[in-house]
Amino acid sequence: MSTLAVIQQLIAASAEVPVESLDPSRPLEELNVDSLTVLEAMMDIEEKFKIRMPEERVPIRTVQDISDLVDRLVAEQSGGPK
Amino acid sequence: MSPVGNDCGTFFDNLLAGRSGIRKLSANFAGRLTANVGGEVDYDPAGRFPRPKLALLDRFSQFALEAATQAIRDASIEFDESLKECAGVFVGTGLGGATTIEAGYEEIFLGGKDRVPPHTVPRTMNNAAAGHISIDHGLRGPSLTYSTACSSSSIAIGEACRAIRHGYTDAAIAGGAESLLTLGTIRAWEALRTLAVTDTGDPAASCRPFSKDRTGLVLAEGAGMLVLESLDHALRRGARIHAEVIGYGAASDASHLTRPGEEGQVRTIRLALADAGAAPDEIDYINAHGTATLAGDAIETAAIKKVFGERAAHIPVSSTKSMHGHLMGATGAVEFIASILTIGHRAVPPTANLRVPDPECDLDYVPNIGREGVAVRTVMSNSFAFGGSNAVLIARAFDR
Repeated sequence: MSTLAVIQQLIAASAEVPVESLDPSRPLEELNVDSLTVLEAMMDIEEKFKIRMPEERVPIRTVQDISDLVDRLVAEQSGGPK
Repeated sequence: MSPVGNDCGTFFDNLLAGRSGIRKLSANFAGRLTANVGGEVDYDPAGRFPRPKLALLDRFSQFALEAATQAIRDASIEFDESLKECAGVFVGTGLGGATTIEAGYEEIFLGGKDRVPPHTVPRTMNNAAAGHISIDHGLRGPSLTYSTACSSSSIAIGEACRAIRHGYTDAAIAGGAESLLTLGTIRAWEALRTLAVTDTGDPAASCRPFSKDRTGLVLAEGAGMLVLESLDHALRRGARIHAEVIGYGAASDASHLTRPGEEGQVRTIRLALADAGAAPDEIDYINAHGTATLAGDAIETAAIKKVFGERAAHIPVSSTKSMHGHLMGATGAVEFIASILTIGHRAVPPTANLRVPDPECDLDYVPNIGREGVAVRTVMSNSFAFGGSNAVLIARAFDR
């Protein structure tokens, strides 16, 4: 399953919205996913991908933003020196 | 929402029948405690709220929302746009999201994690319950939270009445919510040596207000909410009026942080009577603060005798904490509701587990057996808190 699909599933579960409603390119608030729910889902996403979100704030507006960030973090954080 | 029932009917029936909701705690840490009884609410939030919302709700907010919904339904009140514009929410709580903050600490200090769930702050904050009620019902007036320990919700109700009386709003949701049956909280109370020793033969009888063999209070959880309206508003919409809140007294002991003070209690009761314009002989029932601590019950008895004189011996006084335990920030609201329900039921609940008379507690505590067929018109509910923050509420049957 692609990164995007996994993230869509995790957010859909947290927000209790249908997974197919999570258009990757639309702003999350337009999809009935509020910022607190995104924060909650982020913890599941970190666990699933075994990554750590950076401490500094990363602008996230869409599901695609999250997916791109996760791909980047996986590349940076896997195998690299601890 | 209480250890003896999650609706007014069940709640009052159980109280009247003298049925205690105090049990051995169901939590897995109960075995580590000496005082291992509590008043738990039989309630599972699963399916009651959508998941994203539930993630934001500590148990005390869940109780608050359930109680508010029941109160609004019972009142059959419709909040139209102009009423929503001014309607307020007044909530009392002692420890707010105690369960959430303790779970967070556990993860950090015990689990070695370096962060907690993102909902920890919005779940824990004391004003979360009031915020959720105002959001759910679209009430845009003041959303206020009072934290005055054991009198929190009596203060919330009294202050809401004042806001209505002074014309700030026509209606308010007022009451209290508490959920603090966590290991850390119970340990903290244990350390104060105020918790009842568990009655091993009959755990349900561990809380024994006014009985000479009383050993302390039993912690409990729950919520109680009322819909308060100006009389004009209630009459205009043809509301079923349970009672009219006629008196509120709030005053401080200004003497000691934890030891109750007779003088402060006397003053608070007198303030409430004066506010109600009621003479002492008009009070037909008193719901005592009656926590079942050694000092507290004797001092409250002395205070009642001082205010009511000869009349004191003829007023039924009960501590329903003997059955629902001490709901802390929610207890005043739950006990005020019990007091109001005596009017319509023409019955007063007993003080359960009153086994051994105490010469220092010599009022009519309605020992062990509830009394039916009692003409109750005017009721008083006492709340005397740590911090010396006292509150007394008086309500009266409303005759059109």
